[in-house]
Formats: sequence, C-alpha cells, structure tokens
Amino acid sequence: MTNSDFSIEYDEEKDTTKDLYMTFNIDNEIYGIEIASIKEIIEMVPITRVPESPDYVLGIINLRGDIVGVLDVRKRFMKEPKAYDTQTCIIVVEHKEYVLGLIVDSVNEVLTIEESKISAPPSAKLNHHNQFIRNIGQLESGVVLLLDLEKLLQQQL
Amino acid sequence: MADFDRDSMSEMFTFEMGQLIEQLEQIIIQGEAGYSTQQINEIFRIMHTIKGSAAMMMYDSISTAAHSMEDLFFYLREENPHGVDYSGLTDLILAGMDFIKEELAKVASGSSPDGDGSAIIAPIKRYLTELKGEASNDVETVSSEEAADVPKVPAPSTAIADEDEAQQSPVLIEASAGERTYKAIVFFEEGAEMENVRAFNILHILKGKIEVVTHYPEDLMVEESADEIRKQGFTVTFNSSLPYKEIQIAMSETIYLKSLLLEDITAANDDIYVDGDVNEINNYTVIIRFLPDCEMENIRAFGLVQRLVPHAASITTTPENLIDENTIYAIRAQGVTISITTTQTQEFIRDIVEHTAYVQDMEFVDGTSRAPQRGQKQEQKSEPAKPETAAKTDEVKKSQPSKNAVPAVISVPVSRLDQLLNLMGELVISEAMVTQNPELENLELDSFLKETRQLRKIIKDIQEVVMSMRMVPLSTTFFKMHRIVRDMCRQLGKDVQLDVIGEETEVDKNIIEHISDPLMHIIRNSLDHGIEMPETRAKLGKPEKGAVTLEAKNSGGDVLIIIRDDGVGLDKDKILRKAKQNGLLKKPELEYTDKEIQQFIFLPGFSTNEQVTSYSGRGVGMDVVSTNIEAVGGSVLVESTPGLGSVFTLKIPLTLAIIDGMTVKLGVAKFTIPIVSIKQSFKATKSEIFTDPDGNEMINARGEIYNVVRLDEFFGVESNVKNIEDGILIMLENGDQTVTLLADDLVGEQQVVVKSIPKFFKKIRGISGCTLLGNGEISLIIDVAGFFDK
Repeated sequence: MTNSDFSIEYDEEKDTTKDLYMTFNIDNEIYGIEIASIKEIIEMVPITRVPESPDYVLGIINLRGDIVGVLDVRKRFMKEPKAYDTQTCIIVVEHKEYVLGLIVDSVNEVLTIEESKISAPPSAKLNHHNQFIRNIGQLESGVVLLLDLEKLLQQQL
Repeated sequence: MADFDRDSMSEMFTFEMGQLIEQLEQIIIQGEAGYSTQQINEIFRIMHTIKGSAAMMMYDSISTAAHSMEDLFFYLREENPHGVDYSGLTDLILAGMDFIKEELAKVASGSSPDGDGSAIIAPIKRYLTELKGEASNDVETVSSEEAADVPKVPAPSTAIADEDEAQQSPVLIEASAGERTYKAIVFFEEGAEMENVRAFNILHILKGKIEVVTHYPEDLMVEESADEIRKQGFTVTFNSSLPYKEIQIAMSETIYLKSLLLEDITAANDDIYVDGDVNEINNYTVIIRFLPDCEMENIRAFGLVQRLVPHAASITTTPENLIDENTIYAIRAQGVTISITTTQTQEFIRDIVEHTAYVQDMEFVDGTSRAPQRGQKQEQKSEPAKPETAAKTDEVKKSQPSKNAVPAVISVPVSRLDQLLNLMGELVISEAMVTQNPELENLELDSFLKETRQLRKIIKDIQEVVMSMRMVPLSTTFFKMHRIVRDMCRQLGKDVQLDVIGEETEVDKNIIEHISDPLMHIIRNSLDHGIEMPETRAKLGKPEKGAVTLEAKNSGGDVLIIIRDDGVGLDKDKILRKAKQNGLLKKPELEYTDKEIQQFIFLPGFSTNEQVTSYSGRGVGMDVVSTNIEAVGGSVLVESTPGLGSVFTLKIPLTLAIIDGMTVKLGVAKFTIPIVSIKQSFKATKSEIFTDPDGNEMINARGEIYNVVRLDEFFGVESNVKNIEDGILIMLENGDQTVTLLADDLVGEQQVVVKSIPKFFKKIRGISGCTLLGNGEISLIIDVAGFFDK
C-alpha cells in the first residue's frame, strides 16, 4: 500500500489499512499518522546536516542506500528541545513524491479510529501548531491529533 | 480491419520511422552535391520501408508521400540520368521528410495522421516528369517499374547468387497470357508479432490484383493464427493475371518479411498433363546443397519440398523438420536430402530443383539407398570434383563466421540502463562498506585483502562496461547540424561548409540530451552573426565559402566540443556597449579583459544583432547554451579574433554518475570535491596569509594571490580549525578562475557515486549532490562553480 494521498476514496473492501493510525508522542500529546503513509520506522541514525536549511530540517540520512531528508517534529512544532534517547524514532513517511523522516519522541501503537470518531479541529487557529493538524480523533482514553502530512512536508525550504 | 489494436504498434512504428528518417536526412544532406549510386540505393530502400510500414499501419498520408519519393529515387537508380538538379531535389525530399515528420508527430501524440500530402507530392511528381523529359530518349523503352526490372533479371542458376534480395528463380517471366495460378508461402521475421494481421494485410494490399483461392491459416482474425504462421508460414494460393515478377515485387514489400516463396503453379499443372502418361513409379534420393551465402537454407529447402509435393506420392527429407531454424547448420554442412516417390522422371525433378534459387548443386543417389549418411556422401563426392569441393567447404567456412558476425544489437529501455547504473553505484558503495569495515581494523588479513583487491578489480570492470553501455556517439547530434547549416544557408543566402571531426566521440546518454540545443544555438549564431555574405567575404579576401568546423575530442575526464567559424568574430565594443545598456557592468569598463567581455554573450537577453532574423537575434539562445551546459557540469568558453572568427569550446564531463572525488573533513561533516577541479592542496604558513580591510582572507601562494573561502563559514557548519595554517587549503579551478577552500583535513581520494539531494531541499549553493562513503556516512559533493558566481 503505497498510496499515500489519504483524501482519496479507498476501495474499502481491499484496503486493510483503512482507519488505522500509528500514534506517537511529543511531550504529553498523542499524534497520529495514517498507516498508509508510513514506509517504515527506524531508530535514530547519524544525520548529515545540509547547509542552508531551517533548523527543524536536520539533514539527510542514508536509508539503505537511499538518501532521505529528516525533520524534527518537535522543533517543527516549536516545542522545547529534548535530547534524543533510546525511545527516539524516525518515522519514514511517503507523501506524493516526497519521502521524509520525521523524528518523534517515541512511537506508541497502531489504533483503529473510525471515521465517526474523527472530527475537524476547531476553526479558530489560535496557536501555531494546529496548522499541521488535519483532524482530531476521539477515543475513550483521550484525543489523538491527526497530522496533515501535506502541510508538514510542503513547507518551502 | 480497423478494429485491431493499433496503439501498441504505433509506438514501435514511430520509433522505427524516427530512426529511418534521421538516417535518411544524413544521407540526403551528405549527398546534396550529387548522390552516389550507393546513396541512391540506400535512400530508395529507406523510402521503400517507410512506405511499406506506413501502408501497413494504413497511414495513407505518409505512405503516399513516401511512395512519390520512392518513385523518384527509383527512376534515379534505374536510369542514372545526367544533369540532375540535386539541390532542387534535396529541397523536395527534405520538404517531403518534414511532412512525414509532422505526420509522425501526430501519430506519436495519438491522433491520426491526416495531413494533405499533395502539396509535397505534386512538385515531386513534376520534378520526376521533368527529369524523364530531359532523358527523353530513355522514356519510351523504360517507363514503368516492371519494365525497368525485367532486363535485370539474370539467367537462372549461377547468376542468381549475385542478387541481394531473396528472389525466387524466375521460372516463368513471360508476359502474362490469361490468368495464372500462384502459390506463395510467407514467413515473417522472428519477433514481428501479429503475424495474422500482417498476413491479412498482404491480402489487403493485393486486393483487386489477385483472386484468392485458398489460404492457410484460414481465419486470420484470430490470434492463434499468428502462432500457426510463425511455425508453418502463411500459405496462399491465388489466381492472377499479373506476371510473376510483379506479384513478387508487390509481396516482397511486406514489412518484417523474412522469406517469400512464390511459385507459379500453373506451369506445374501444365507439366503434369504433359507428363501425365508416365506412370512408372520411381524412387529418387537427391542431395541438394545451397550456395554458401544464401542463408535460410531450411526455408529454401522447405519451399522446394512444397513444390515437389504435388508431384510426389511420398516425400521425406533429412533433416526432417525444415521449419526448425536449427536445421540451417545441418543443411549448410551436409545439404538436404530429399527422398521422393513419384511417377515423374528424374529429369522432371532435376528441372524443379534447378529452378530453385541459390541451389549450388544436386546429386541423385541410387534410388534404393537413401544415402543420408555423411560418410557415404563424401565418398560419392570425392572423385569428380575434389578441389572444387574443398574450395567450397572453405567458402562455407568463411561465410559462416561472417554471417554470425552480423552485429547483434538489441534496444534496451534507458530506464533499465539507469537502474543498472544505480545498482552499480550501490555495488561500489557496498564494496567499500565491506572492505573498509571498521570491524576489520587491526586484524591480520592477508588473504582477505588479496581477495578484496580482486573483487574491486572485477567491480571496476563491470562499472566500465555499465558506463560504456550508456555511451552514445555524438555523430547523430552532429549530423543534425548539417541540416541546420544547409537550411540557414539557403535562407540567408550564405555559403557555408560544415566540417565535422571526431563525431565518433562518445558521451553519456544523459549528457547528450543536453548538448543538442546548445550546439544548435552556437551554430546558428555562427552562421547568422559570424559568417559574412559571400560578397563581403570576397571583398575581405576570404574564400567565399565560409567554414564552420565542429570538432569533438576527449580530454581527460571531459569531452571538448569545439565550434570554429571563420566569420567576423565578436565585436568587443558592441558587446561592451550592450552590456552597459543592460546594466551588466560591475566594474569600470576599462578593467574588463577581452575574455570577460566575450563571456557576456552567455548572459540572458544578450544579443548584439540589431536585426532579428528568423534564426537568432531575439536575445534568447546563448544563455541557453551556458545554462544547459552548466546543468551537466560543463562549461562554455569563447575566444574570438576580430575579423578572423570565433571559437566556442564546450567542456563536458564524460559521465555524471560516478566521479573521482577527494573527501575532506570539516568538523564531523564530510565533503567531497571532484578531483578534476582540484589544482592542488597544501598547508599554508602564517606568513603567507593576510587579510584585506574588508576582512577577506587571502593567501600568497608562490607569488600568486588567491581568495580563501572558509568552508565552515560558507556552509554554516562546525569546524575544528580556527587558524588557516592548521587546516588544509584546496585550490580549485573553474575555467580560468581560481579559489582556495579551507577544510580541516583530507580524508582520502575515492570514486564516488553521485546521488541527488532529495527534492524536499531546494538547490543549495556550492552543493551539487551527495554520496555515500565506505562506512555508510553521507558526504556532500561540492559544486565548484558555486564558489565562483557571486
């Protein structure tokens, strides 16, 4: 399943990844990315810095011979920096022609969030970071902020 | 008919046509001064193929246009008339080809070629008529295709070997008297695909001329027939009033035709009646050998057997399955043995065999013994003609390798070559990862090192092969320029000779695509602005005919393409004036050197020509040259002597994919600098370094002063070196400019595979890509040009 454009209609019969989200943590908040967009999840690897890029773009990594750009989601969301530890992961996502690694504090689990449980974010955009949030999934345990990869990746560098 | 799937074929069609037209254009332009017989034959052949293929695809506009040109060259070929206006002819043909090209573009874009070719065809026909009028004494005797061909038909048997085409022995070529019955067996080339449709097309083309009696396979619209035809050939029996020759010509126009066996079975039938009263049953065994160069012996033998079948009660052959191509070699070595039981006489059989094309000799062996064994045959042969046979076997031996030496060429999609190259890159990297693995450090590894050296050597060899597969000679690109020169000369009234040198020089496929446009612009520029009108040239004491030379040669890891003209050269003052007008001057006018001034012409929007012509002068063009060439990592230089001409030099790397690089360290980061750009690297002493009032650091290296660029500052990375004398200086060259970079230390020299920085990043100044080092680390590749254009 490489189709990463999650706004299109899936063939529901065949699509086994429908309604599945990978959740991860930054600070105490839980974020979700559609499984269909995720290529793989890897541990932290050495990152080569690329000149002339913003601070949240950490550089490029060698993913088994492929060169992949990496950005730090925490920095992108303007959160307090935190040292990388054993929990730190890179989620490699594929969206349209881009393949990009997202550095997150830790990954949690794969959840099913049915469409009926998903609601749009509040229309008033009061703070920065909800510009990257597409929808909010509501679970019994709390809410999951569903990322808008389009916005996250499309930033002009 | 219209409902069969044409799309899959049209792609192949446009590809083939494109190649043919390119080839044709070259020949035509080379031959403008007068065509050689060989060239005329070649043009005729190509036109013929174009016509055939287009007719097959039912693109009438193309096929009729090609047909008219083919007619013209047919006349030239057959009549070899004197006093032909070749340049007029060339105009006509080029116009015709442009028409075909347009039509092809339509096909390629998926629409149907519906252009009206009459504007092209009419002048060609008129030209042909005039030509015929001029050679009026010939007109009466030779006016049509068949008539022209008839005198060429050689006497049967020996002379046939000289004929190139797979012509059947003309058993009966007398003018037609009433209807005759023919039988044709057609084989298509291997991989022709859709044989059933092709077979159908044969019938379609001949419609109206022939009356089909039977054909096999019967249903040509089902795909299974394609298989059948592949194995057995397409057999058709028909009546026609046309002479043998004409039918043969018509049928041999079929594209992808591998072999055609056409026989007039009316004759055979007649003969049966004549010999009808001979009722004695005979057994004959005949060994037949074919001429050494005839090829496809199995098919010929098969055809012969087919002719014998109507007269035979039973017939067997050795080798048995003549349709199997592998029997060719057996037949070539031992001949084909045919055992036939028939009521006919030996003479009758002999007659049929003799009239088979390319038969070298036949030998009847005793009727009872079949004598298929080699030993026996040799015995029988040995006595009468020993020296001759020996000579012949020699001949056979000689001709065999020459047949096998036909260059076997396959076309491979470029994407697959790219993939191979990528994998090659991975291999180079992973070899380094293995052999330079940190875990191997401090180990005693004598034999390991020996084996890795061998491995490295093999990888290097493979790499060379892979790279060479991507190499394409510049000739196609160069020859396109002939057309441009010719067209421009006609339009501008100039007379220019284009000489091409070193067109066999090869460069990477990816690079060649970037060269064509720049070359075209430079040549146009030379013709338009450089070369003077013939009168002016005469006044200046130059030869009236201008000269433009296009030369390619290898120079280290680069290819130099040099375009020389003997025109007026660049007008320095005019360029400077124009540069001033456009506000391009960055320092006082007088400080500009000639070279710097000349480089101005590569800036966007720069044209000194007051008059815009249809070719150049709009101010686009020369900047395309520099952008295109720089895109592939090359550079453009211009040198000019006023009044004597200009020389443009394009320096282009041989390949983009794998470069020799020097890797340097900068803090934790690594950077790789292409070795070709490095002039030297050295340590500086404190006394050699000084700083100007603006804070620019400079170094005095052996009396020359160079700027020092601190790489860490340039790229904004951490460095361990604060003082220039602690680090290492690398002197880079770009054209005639030089700069020195400061890095922490050298890591080493190695071949690196260039990878691009992900699209997510915008273009970074001073970085052209990245590469993986042996330990899996990423190193950024420095774009030397980025350090110069400020």
